[in-house]
Order: sequence, then C-alpha cells, then structure tokens
Amino acid sequence: MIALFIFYPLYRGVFLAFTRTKLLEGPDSTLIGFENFKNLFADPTFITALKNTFVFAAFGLTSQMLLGLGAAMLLSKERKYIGLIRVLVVLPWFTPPVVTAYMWRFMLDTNAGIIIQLLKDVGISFGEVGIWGNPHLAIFGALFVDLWASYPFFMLFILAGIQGIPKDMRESTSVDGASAFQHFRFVVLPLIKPVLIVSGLLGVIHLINSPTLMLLLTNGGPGDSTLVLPLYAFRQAFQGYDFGYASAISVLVLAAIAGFAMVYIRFAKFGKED
Amino acid sequence: MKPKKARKKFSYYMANVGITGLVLFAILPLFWTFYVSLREEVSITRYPTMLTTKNLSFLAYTHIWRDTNFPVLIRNSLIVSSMTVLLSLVLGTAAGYALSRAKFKGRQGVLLSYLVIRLIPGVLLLVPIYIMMYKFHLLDTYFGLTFAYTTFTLPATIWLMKGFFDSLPPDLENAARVDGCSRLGAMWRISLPLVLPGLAATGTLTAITAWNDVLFAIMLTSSNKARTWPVGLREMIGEFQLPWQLLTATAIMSLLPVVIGFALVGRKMVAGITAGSLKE
Repeated sequence: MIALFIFYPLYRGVFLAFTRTKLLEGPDSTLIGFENFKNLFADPTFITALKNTFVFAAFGLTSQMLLGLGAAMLLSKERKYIGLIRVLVVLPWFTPPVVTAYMWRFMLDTNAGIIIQLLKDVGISFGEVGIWGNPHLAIFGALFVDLWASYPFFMLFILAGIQGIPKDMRESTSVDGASAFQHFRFVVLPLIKPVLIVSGLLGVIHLINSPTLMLLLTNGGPGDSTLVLPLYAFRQAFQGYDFGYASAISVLVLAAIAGFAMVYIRFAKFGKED
Repeated sequence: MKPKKARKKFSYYMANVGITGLVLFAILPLFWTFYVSLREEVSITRYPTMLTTKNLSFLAYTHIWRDTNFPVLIRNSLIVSSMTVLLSLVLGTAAGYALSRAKFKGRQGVLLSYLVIRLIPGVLLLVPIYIMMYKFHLLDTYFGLTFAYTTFTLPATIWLMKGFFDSLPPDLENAARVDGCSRLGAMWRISLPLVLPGLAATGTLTAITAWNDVLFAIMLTSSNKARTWPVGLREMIGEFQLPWQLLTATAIMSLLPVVIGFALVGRKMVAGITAGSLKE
C-alpha cells in the first residue's frame, strides 16, 4: 500500500518534473529534460517564493523552538492539574488548519478583529490595510499564527526529553552550588540536545513542506508577499494545470530538504563527539 | 536562608503566571471564536471588542444545520474519517505487530522509510495521486480520499503500534502459547486487549488527521458526493464581505469532534507520539 501510494507517485512525480505536461494541452507528457528547472531559475515569482520560504522557515523554527523550550521547562514540574494543563496547551496543534486560519484571519482583521482593535486602543495602529493587506507584515502575521498552531509540537518533544532526565539530578547540582541557570545550561541543555535536533529537523520539514496554512490564511497575498514554494507548486498544478512545472518545484524542495537533512544530521553527530 | 525561600516563592509565582499565560494563549482564541458565533453579524463588525450577554443566540448554528449543505459535508467527513481509521488500524496493527516481534531482514529499512516519507513534500505526491485516482475513477469518491489519507497515516500508525507492542513483555505471549494458543490466537486474545488504549489513541490521531485535511479534499473532490467539511468552509468565504457569524459557528461545530476525541484519549495520544519518535 505504501509502495503503491507513496513510492509510485514519488517516482511519477520526479518523472513529471522532466516533462512538459499541461492538462490544458491534453493528458500526454513529453520528455523535455531540464527545461522546467531552467525556466524556474529565470522565473521571478519562483525567486520570491524561495525567499519567502526561507524567511518563513528560519523565523518559524526559531520562534517555535524557543517558545516550545520555555513552555516545556514551565510544564515539566509536577503540580496540581498538570495533566489537564498539558492537554489544553497542546490543543492548538490538533485544531483543524481551516479553523486555525479563519479564526486568526478574523481576530487580526482590520475592522472586526479584536486584537487589532485592542491594540488600536492602546495606540498601536496598523493603518487602513491592517496586517493582511500589508505586504511587509502579512508574513509575520502568518508566522504568528503558525507559532500558535505549531509550537506545542516542540513543547511535547522537549517535555518528553526533560522528563527523561533523572529527578535527583537537580538535587545533586544544587548541593554542588549550581544556580538554576547553571543547572539548565550545563545539565539540562546537553541532555535534551538530541531531542532538540530531532524536533528541529521535523519542524523545519513541516515549515517548508506544507502549503495548507498559507493557502487558507493569505493565499500568497498581498501580491506575492507570502507566496511560499509548496503553495506556488500547488497553484501551478491546480490553477495553471501545469503539472510538469509544479513537479519541478516540488522536486527542488525535496532535494533541498534532503540535502539539508543530511548536512544537519552529519553536523549534529559531529557536535556530539566533542 | 530567608532570601532563598523568598526567591523560591517568587519563582513559583512566576511559573504560575507563565503557565496561566500559556493556557490562555491556547484557549482564549477558541473561546472568543465561540462567543462571536453567538453574536449578531451587525454587532460583530460594528463593535468588535464589545463584551455583552445581550442578543446571544444559537441562530447561526440552527441556520447552518437546516438551510445549508453543511450536514452532508459533515457526514462525508465522518464516513471518510471512519473508513481511514478502520483501514489504517487493520493494516497498521498487523504491520506494527510484525515489526515488533519478528526479526526479519530489511526491518530497519521499513522503519527508515517512515522517516523518509515525512521528508517528501505532499504537493509532489498530489499530482501523481490525482492522475492515479483519475485513471481508477476514484475521484470524488469516499474510497479515493480514504486511500489517500491511509497512505499518509499508515506510517505513523505502524510506528505507534510497534511502540505499544514493544512495551508488552514477550513472555506473556509465550506463556499463552505453552498453554496451547496459536501465534495468531496469542496476539488476538492476549496482546491486542492489552494494547487497546494504545489502539484507541492511535485511531483518534488518525481520525483527526483525516478530519482536518484540506489539501487532498480540495483536490480529490468536486461535488457534494464526497466533499468534506474543510472544503465547504473554505467555499463560504466570499471575495469581500466575510460572514463572520456563520464562519465562526461552522468552525466551532467542526472543531467539536476533535475536542471530544482529544478529551477522551489526548494524554495517551501525546505520550505515544513522543515515545515513538524519540526511540531513534
């Protein structure tokens, strides 16, 4: 089943990238070698999308991992109702993306959005166009929404890592006179490093691969200011019906991620030996 | 000794503030959305920040339930999600059990492929899957969506079930077999009941994945025959004026099954996800 639905489509997808397949010209594909890729690098929209993807992934990873780490530290200690608290905090991660996207589009709406209105009351104004209409701000709006939806993923992983550390560790370091910060820096951090590495990798993959949030939140706009690569591929395939071009974009994304993963794992292993 | 105690109290206080902040950050947006869905459209856009108990009603909900095709889409979603859960659990339990017990060649390869699959951009598979479904006449059918979702949930299902089977002592089954149970009988009568909570958690996770998906639903359906609710919600969005009251009410309705499932087995689910992924 996996072979049928993953490896065969994967093979077909990579194959399509080297063909000219436009549904509007009929279902046939002709092999054209690297022409799709050549066109890509001359395509200004592709370059914009590439830049946006990079910004989105870099800021997204940093913000989500930091908040996830902080939240995991806070929620790692046993206290009353901690089980319930953990489940509540993780809820955004399981919220349907459609709900997440429209909820935040609403709350950050220029006229009807509560957050924008409250901010206006304390003197922070986003002007006529608000967040979603401002090409410089829209991507940060999307980053904020993804922070809400995705940081629990990091929190869960890091929490599991922290819980794997023996409890009496803190006692022994405090006998040795270590401050809470020193304990975190020299005991906790090295011990959860593998977890940070694994969750970081999975997080980046998610940030780069998924067009869903952008599709629903901004659909790439205003202009192309929030157009990311998977969304561009999706558009080429199901609005332009240019399957070859869409596949070429996806193949590049896959190659970039695979390359990144390999370097990342190599680098992570290298760090371990020190 | 005294300043240390005071500092400890202070840090405990700060932790409480932080935790309260986290919980509010997670659930306040959902509560606000629910509140807005009860208000009148006029007051939502004219007085966006107003808090009032006047004129609140479930009118939007009854309107959606009676006068739109949304119930049909919800039914489609329920059917597709259930079929996906069934298929994923049957295949995933069998495969997870085999991986946990048998030590065959290429075992590592199967486990590795789970991670590799996560690397592949969904969009790359969308096009070929669309063409395949077109050729097999599975576009706009329950089965088409079910197959597509199962493909993406199966690796996780196998992985989770393997983890749950791993946590059982193998002696349990050996004892049953000494008593004259067949291998299959031992699995069915001894191991399966013991991993039932795990099975429930895995099933819920699968159901939520299928329930939440937008991308495949947009692509693989074209009419109300198999269209799922996220597509319907997306189509409610007009070009300029957004019907906030209806949108929020629909969103809350669709969120309900997720919240219920999550409330029932959320903790087990969360534990399974992290435990499975950390054994790398």
